[in-house]
Amino acid sequence: MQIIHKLGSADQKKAAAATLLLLPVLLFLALFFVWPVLGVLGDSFSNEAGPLKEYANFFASGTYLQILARTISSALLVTALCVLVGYPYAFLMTRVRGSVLKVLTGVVLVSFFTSVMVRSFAWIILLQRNGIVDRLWQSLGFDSLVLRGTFVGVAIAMVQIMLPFMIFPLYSAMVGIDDRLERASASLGAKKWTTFWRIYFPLSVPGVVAGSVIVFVTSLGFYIIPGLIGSSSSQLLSHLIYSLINTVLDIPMASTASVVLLLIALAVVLPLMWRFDVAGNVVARFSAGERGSAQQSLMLRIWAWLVGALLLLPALVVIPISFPENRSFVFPPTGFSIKWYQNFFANEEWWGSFVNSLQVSLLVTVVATILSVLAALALRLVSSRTRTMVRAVILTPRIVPGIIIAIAVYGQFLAWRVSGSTLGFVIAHAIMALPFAFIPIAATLEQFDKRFEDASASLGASRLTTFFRIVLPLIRTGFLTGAMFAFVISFDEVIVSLFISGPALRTLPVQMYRSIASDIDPTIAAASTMLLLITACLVAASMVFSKKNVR
Amino acid sequence: MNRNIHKIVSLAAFTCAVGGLALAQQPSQIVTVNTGGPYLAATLEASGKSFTQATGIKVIGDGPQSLAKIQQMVKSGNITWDVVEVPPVFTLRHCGTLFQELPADLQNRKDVLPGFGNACGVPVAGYANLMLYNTKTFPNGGPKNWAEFFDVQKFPGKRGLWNGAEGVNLEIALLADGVAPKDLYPLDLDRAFAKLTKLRPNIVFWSAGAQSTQMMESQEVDMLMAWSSRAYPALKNGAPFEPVWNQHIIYNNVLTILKGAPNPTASANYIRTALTPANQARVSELFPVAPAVIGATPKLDAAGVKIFAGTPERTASAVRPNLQWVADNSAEIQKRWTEWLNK
Repeated sequence: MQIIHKLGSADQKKAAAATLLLLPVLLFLALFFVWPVLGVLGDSFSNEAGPLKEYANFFASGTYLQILARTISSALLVTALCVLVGYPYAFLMTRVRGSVLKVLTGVVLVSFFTSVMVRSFAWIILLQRNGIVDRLWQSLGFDSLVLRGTFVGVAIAMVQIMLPFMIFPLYSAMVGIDDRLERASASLGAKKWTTFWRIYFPLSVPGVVAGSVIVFVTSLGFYIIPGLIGSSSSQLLSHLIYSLINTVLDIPMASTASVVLLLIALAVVLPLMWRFDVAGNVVARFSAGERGSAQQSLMLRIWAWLVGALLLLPALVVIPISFPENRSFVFPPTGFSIKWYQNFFANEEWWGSFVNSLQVSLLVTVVATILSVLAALALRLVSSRTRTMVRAVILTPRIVPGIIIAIAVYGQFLAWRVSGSTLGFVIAHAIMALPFAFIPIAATLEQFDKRFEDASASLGASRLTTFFRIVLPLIRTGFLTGAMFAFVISFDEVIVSLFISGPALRTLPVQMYRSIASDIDPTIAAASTMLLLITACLVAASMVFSKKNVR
Repeated sequence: MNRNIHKIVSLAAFTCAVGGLALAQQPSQIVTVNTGGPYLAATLEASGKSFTQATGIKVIGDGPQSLAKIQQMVKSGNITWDVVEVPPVFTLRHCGTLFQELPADLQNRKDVLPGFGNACGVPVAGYANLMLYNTKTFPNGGPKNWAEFFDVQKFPGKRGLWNGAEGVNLEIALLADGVAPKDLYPLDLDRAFAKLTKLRPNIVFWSAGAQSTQMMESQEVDMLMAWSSRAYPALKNGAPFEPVWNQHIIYNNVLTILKGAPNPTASANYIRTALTPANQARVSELFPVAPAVIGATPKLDAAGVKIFAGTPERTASAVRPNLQWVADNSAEIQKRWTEWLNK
């Protein structure tokens, strides 16, 4: 009896509450994410000649090793380019204020929220023969320049798509650097560059690492861009996995290649995660306060303009391409017609998939947000070591390449009979949206002063009342950011959706992918144009709103 | 008399029983699957509509199909696809394991093009692996056979080829190297890859059919191998390409029912509906595949006539692949192809 009584002490109560709050998210991930991925691992050991035979075969094949090396080196290249291109931009963001900062931030946000399918489609149109890039090049007097089907083309498109993931954490780390350090360094006689290399850059390294991890891992498993823009003769590991599954039905080898890919991702991420607060930085402080000095070098400003143009302009090509007379993606389009817009609303495949996407995304938003809030509340009750571990667990879906989640989830969902159903989509998307919803929600809850709660409780409010009347209003911004991220991630998800979609349910990105890969349907351009417009309006509105909020 | 009445009554009872059983088992819908896009729309418009009219069963379309999805479905026992159109190599390799044997009347049907069907698959739609050249690059006539297609001195420029191992690329390489169509099989893989290697710097690969259409419209290549059905939309939109009806390799996809699929009876009936000459012709008018059923005659527009693989002459002059050999050596061919591609 005494022991039980002791269990009731404050600490034990806290632990029990934390466990209860963490249970949903941990169960969710264990059942729907870890278990399917373990299935893939199991398949990789299923060779009858011995559990490691598949691995021996993989590493004995010169071709597979070559593909592996190509995958790693292209992911490294994309990461390096993102750092080089994004660093000065993020730096400039910390040095400007007012409307300039709003514009710089808005550009990155619009780019980030613009559907990956829209941007991929835009790059196809831009880089094809007789596309805009080719024509511009020729008008400068050069020979033709067709980047579609080349590695350069893939690299450009991937850098453009991954840049926001680099700029967010960079900015977040840089804005936290105390500018008095620089002034101190200058007053001690250090030159500008010395100050940068010796003082500023080391302090920004956590941002560089956080951004690089996300970009590197995503690039490792990128499927859509290299598949639609790249050349078939420079396969990446994700395509090898896909073709092993699809053309030769070699599931054990595909699983082995997936495990190898996963191990590489983990080998890079885990040590870094240990040393830096990698994921915590990704989106946490994007709306941090502004400050800055007026003097900016011209070079820096020109660079920012170029990066801004790279982020914004390519997607705009979908606008003219949405009005052709013929069923064609040729640029410039011939004739003028709005029939592709009509088709979007009239055709069940398009309108239906749009409605499906909205429905799934809203449900995912609810699921991911609730799980995140519960987990974030738990984080406040546990030791800092447990906190780090929990955070790492919830963020793992972010560091597992998408193609692997796709394969794992697809096999398991078929067995559970949820493939191609709303439930299946919601579960799969929630796995991927969880890290994005969790980061801002946990970040704001952590900053939130616990004494408000104590005050509320001491005044006699129940815990629920305290949560809804005190906590929720205070964490509203982080909460809304998390919900919005969850929505966008789900609305935009392609790879897993491609696998689990069926006749009863198809989402908009899947429909868009098919209208490029198995059809030439300009309705995708009409859909893209409308999505672009909505995105731009939403970002503009949110920036106006956040301005009011500060007052 | 008595016996006759008895006979009639029992026959009626039997009919009612069977009819009732059929009615009870009749699904409210079946799912038919092929590569998707406009071709799927065409099959639903033709065969799907007439099947629903006749039986009341709704036909839902899905696509594209893939061997991985098929295998996952059969393995898990959760089969959501009923009638699936696949390349014949699939059914030759996986008959009885992934695909079920069809009713006797559908096996080895005599009125379809021979060489593609087997116990699990019946040919439904054909196309030609066809050479086309850019008339802007070669206004005075382009390559006339595969040997000239591979001749970069005589006809400089980029060549579009399908990124796939089975059934086309090795065959055209050997044809270009002087092998007679009847001596193609067993394929001399070394010789074929050596020939392809020489052309390699001039090759642009396309993966999905839509990419080949796009390639013609944006004139990314000066000549290419395209599936005739996919060349149609490009020609219709005025892409400056001329088909070469010489040494084209003809191919037929087959309709199959997945092993363990829930509605085999309705599925078999759907296949029978899809194989009526009227529906065969209708599909070809909507999307210019060549009917598998001999004697189906679609009415085609100008671009369709240019690209239609099903005329008697084009059928007769076509090169026929030995798909059984390809299926038997599929693993080796795929492996060699992946190695070559990544070299």
